[in-house]
Amino acid sequence: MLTDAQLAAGIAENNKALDESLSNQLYLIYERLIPDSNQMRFMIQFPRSCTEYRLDYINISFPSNVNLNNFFFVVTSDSFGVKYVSENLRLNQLGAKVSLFTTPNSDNDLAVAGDQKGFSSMIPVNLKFKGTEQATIFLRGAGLIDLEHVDFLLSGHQKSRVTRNEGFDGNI
Amino acid sequence: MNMSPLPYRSTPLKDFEKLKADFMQENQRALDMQTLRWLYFIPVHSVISANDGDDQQVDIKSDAHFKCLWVTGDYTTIGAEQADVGACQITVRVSDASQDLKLMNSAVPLDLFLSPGRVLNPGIAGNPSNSLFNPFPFGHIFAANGGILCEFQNAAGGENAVNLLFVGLKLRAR
Repeated sequence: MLTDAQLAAGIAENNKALDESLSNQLYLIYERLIPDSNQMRFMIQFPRSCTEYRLDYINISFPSNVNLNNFFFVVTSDSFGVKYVSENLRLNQLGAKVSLFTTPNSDNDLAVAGDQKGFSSMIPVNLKFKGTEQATIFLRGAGLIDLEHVDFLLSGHQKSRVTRNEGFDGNI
Repeated sequence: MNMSPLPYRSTPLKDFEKLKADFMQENQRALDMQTLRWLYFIPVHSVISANDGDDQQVDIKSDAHFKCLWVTGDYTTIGAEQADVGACQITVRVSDASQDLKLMNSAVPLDLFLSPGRVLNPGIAGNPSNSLFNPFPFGHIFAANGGILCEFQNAAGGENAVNLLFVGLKLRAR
């Protein structure tokens, strides 16, 4: 059995963990894009209230039979003096998968009944962005224009000046 | 032949006793720590009518905070006329109810992050999901007396069911 002092110390540690988590909050950013060319990008403007956003993972999925070998994926940042944080990363090398989840629009779509493969693997990114910074997610590849849409899910934690009652708007 | 003794043969008995006592103390310590932090699962279940929404909130009890580490889940993909179309048309937005803090910028399609993902309704023909089981990291501490709010939307023409499972640790708060 823990002593009363050990118990109190443990509870204090747990409460401290909660307090610290208030300024380091989980935040997921989701965006669905409709390609109109063979390259597409979206930008995230981090607000001043967010002093830092640590991007851990990106999930990408698109309902198509397009070969992932053709795709390149770039994350750029306009601060830290870094233009391209990562460049020309092939999606399949990173574990991204086609996620078939929509009603097929044509015979070429694989998303027929019973064929859903469901889950898009997480691409580890581990990048940090400052508040007021603009991050750009860039996707390029042959056949991109043929996609019905592309889903992005960014998973990370924000360090925020605000604590309660406010989460920052992804402002995509 | 002169064989050197094995190491354990040269270990004095009193050292074994000390090692044994140390291990037992360490094991007892691990057991005791479970009174402060212990594994915990929070399921959220929802059945959502066609073209409708449903909010589900799970309250966190006052005894401990909930440090969520992972989320897993499944959903059905029933379209109009009870046909399994294999297409996920359910979204969710998860919030920390105690802080009125939204953890997502908008509602997210379930198939983008849930595993095992699609499942079949009993009695409906079709292939099951062949996705790998891959828990999605979901690191957030929900305060004691707070809650996990899940706002579901079903854009499909049929009624669909969702199961989420939040996996983490309870952190004793009092």
